[in-house]
Amino acid sequence: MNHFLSQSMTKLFLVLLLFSASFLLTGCWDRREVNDTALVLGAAIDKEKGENIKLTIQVLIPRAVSGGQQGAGGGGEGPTVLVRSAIGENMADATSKLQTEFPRKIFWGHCKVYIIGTKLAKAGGLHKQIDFWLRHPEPRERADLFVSVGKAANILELQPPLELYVGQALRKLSEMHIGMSVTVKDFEQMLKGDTGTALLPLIKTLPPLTGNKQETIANIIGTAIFKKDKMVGQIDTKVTRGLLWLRNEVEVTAVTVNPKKGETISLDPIREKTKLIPTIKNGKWKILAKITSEGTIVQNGSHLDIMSTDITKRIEKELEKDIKQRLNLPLIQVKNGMNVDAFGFADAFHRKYPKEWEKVKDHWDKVLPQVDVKIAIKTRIRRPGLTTTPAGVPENEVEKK
Amino acid sequence: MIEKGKISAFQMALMIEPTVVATAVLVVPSVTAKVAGRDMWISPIFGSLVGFFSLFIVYQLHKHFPEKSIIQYSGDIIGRIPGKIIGLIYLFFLLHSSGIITREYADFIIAAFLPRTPMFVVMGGMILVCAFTVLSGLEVLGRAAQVFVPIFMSTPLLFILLIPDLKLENIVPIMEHGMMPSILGAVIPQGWLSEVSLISMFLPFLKDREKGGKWGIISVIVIILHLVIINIVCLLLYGESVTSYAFPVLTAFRYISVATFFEHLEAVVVIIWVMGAFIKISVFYYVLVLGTAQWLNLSDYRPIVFPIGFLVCLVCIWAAANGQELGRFLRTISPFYIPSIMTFIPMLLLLIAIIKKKMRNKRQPVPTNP
Repeated sequence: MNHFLSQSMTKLFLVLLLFSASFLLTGCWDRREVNDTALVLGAAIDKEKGENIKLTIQVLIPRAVSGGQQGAGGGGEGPTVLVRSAIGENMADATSKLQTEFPRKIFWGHCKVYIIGTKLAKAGGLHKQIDFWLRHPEPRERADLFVSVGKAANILELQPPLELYVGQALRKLSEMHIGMSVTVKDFEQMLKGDTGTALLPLIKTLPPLTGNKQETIANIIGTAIFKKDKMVGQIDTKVTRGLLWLRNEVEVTAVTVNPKKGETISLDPIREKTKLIPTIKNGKWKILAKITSEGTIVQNGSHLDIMSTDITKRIEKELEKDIKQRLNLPLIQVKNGMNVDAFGFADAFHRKYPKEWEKVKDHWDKVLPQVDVKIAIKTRIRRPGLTTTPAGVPENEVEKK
Repeated sequence: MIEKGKISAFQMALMIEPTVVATAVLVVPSVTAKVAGRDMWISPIFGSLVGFFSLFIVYQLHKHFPEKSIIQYSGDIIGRIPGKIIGLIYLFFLLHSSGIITREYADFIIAAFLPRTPMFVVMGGMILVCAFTVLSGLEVLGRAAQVFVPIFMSTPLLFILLIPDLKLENIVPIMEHGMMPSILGAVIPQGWLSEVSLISMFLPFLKDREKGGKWGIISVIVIILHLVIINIVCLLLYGESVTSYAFPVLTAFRYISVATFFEHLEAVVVIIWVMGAFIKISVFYYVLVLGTAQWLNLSDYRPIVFPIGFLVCLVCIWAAANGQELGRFLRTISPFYIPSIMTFIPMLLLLIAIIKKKMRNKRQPVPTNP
C-alpha cells in the first residue's frame, strides 16, 4: 500500500513537472501580443533642416479593418491607417521619438514599402538610412524602395481606392515591372557593385479625379538614377522602358508602329530577352546588345492583311526600328547625358574580360563615353491574334502586299 | 567499457553532418566571401581535403586500437603521463569549443529572434536538453540524430523557392584572380571540417565497424555538398555584397517570397536549424563527458554530466565579451585552433604509433636470430 502510494506520488510529481514546462514555452522576455503592436505598413523619409530626417510611418488600425469585414454592407467607415511623423537624426532616433506617440510597440516586420523624398535622395548619404533596414532584426530585406517627387510623407497620406493602403498599391505596381523594381537588398547590392550606380523607381501622386483630394494613388513615372548613393538624375517612363529593355527586366509593354501615317499596328511582346555581349578589340570597347522579342498582334488599325507573310516581315522590320529607337533613348540620356552606367555594361565587361576590367575599374567614368553600343534586334510575330483581316474593313480594301 | 550502447555507422554519419554544418552555415559564407570573393563556393571543396585527412588519420588510429578512444590510446602510444597530458589538452579544447558553439547558438538566436531574452536562458535551456540526451547515452543521441538530421539536411531544398531571385551571372568570372583566393578562402571551412575527427570517439561503439570508414567519407561528402549549395545560393542571391550580412543564410531565407503571401519562412527554418544545433552541441558535450570519464578512469560517466554542463555554461559566458569578439575568434583564431587539436594531435599520435610499430618489427627479428 505504502509502495503504491509513493509510486502514484512520483507519477503526480512527474505530471506536475511536465506541466511546469509549459511556463517556459511562453517566452517571457520576447513575447509580443498582436494587440500590443503597431504594425508599420509603409515608411517615408524626408530631409529636414541640417542633417536631420523626418520619418513618417503608416500604421494599421486593426479595429477599422476587422470592423469593415463584419459590417460588409456598411463598407469601410473611417480610415484603416494612421499616419504619424517625427524628426530625428536618423531612422532609429526618429523611430524612438515616434514610439512616444503610439500606445503600442512599433513593429517593422510588415513594412514592405520605403519611400525616399527627392530632397533627401539628392542630398546623398542614403547609406546612413538603409543600414537600419538591414541591421535591425525587424525590417525585411525584401521591402521595396521608391523615390518620390516632392515630399515622400504626402504619399503615405493618400487613400488608394482599390487597395487598403498605399503600401499595398505601390507594392503591386512594383510587381508589374512597369518601372524598376528594387528591394533594399538589391539597392545595397547595386551600391556595392562595380560602378556604384543604383536605380530606384520614381513615383508621383496621380491627380485625383473625384472630389476627395486624398483618394488617389501614386504611380511610377520613371527612374531615379543614383551614383554613390546620391541621386544624380531622373528619366521618364519612356526612357525607363528602353532602360529596362537593355537590362533584360522588361515585362509588359505594347509596341506600336505606324506602317502608314495615321495607321497603327500593336504587338504585345510575350517574350523578351536581352543579351549584352562585350568585345574588346584593339583597345576599343564595344557592347553588342542582342535583343530577341516575340509576341502577338493585339491591334491592327491599318489596311494591311497581317496574314500575309510578306507583310508580317515588313511589320517585323518596322517593330525592330521602333524598339531600336526606344533603346537609343536611354543610351543618349543616361549614358551620354549623365555618363552613368545604368545598363550593367561594367558587369558585362567584368565577367568576360576580368583582366582588362582590372585596369579600368578605377576610371570607368572615363571609359564609359568611349564604349560603342550596337543594338541588334530580332522580332518575331508569332500569332496574328483571333481575327484575320483588319476588323470592319471590306475585303476589297485590304492590302494583301 | 563505460558506454554500453551501440550505434550504427549510418547513425554516426548522421551525427557528424550537423556537427560540422550547424554552425558553419551561420558565418562561413560571409567570412569566406571576404577572402575568396566570387569563388567562395569553391573553398569548401578545398577545405574538404582537411576533412578527408582528419578522417583518414582517426580511422587509421582506430584500426590500431579498435576498442579505444583517443583519450585512451594516446596513453598507449606515448606513455602514461604524456598521454594524460594530451588527453587533458584535448578535453580542455572540447570544453572550450562546446562553450563557443553554445555561444554561437545563443548569439544567433538572440541577435535574430529573441533580442530581450537573457543569454543564460537561451543557452541554459539548450544545455539542459543536451544534458538529458547525454545522460541517456549514445544510443539515444544516435536515434535523435536519425530523427532530426534528415529534416535538418532538407533545408537547402527550400532554396528552390528562391530561384526567381537568383542571378546566375553573379558566379562569373570564375577564378578571376587565379586559384589563390579560393584556396585562401578554404582556411575558414577547413577549420570546421576538421571537426570530423570527433568520430574517433564513436568508432569504438559501432555495430558495423567495417562500414565506419565508408560512412565517414559519405558524411564528409554530404557536408561539402551542403556547404557548397549554401555558398552558391548566397553568391547567386547577393553577389559579392554577401559580406555585408552577418548571417547571410538567415537573410536568404527571409528573402523568400512566393506570390507575396508565402513568406516569412525564417521562423520555420530556424526551428529546423535548432535541431541541427542541438545535435552539434550534444555531440560535443557527449564526447567531452565520455572523454573526461575515460581520462579519470571512472566506471560510469553519468554522474559528471550535469557538473560538466555547468562548466560548459560558464565557458559559454566567458568565451567572448560580445558578438564582435566572438566573430573575430571565429574568423581569425578558430581556423588554426580547431585543426591543431582535431587534426594535428591525432596526426602526431599516428606517426608515433607507426614509427613505434616499425621499430618493434625491426627489433623483433634480432633476438630470434642469435
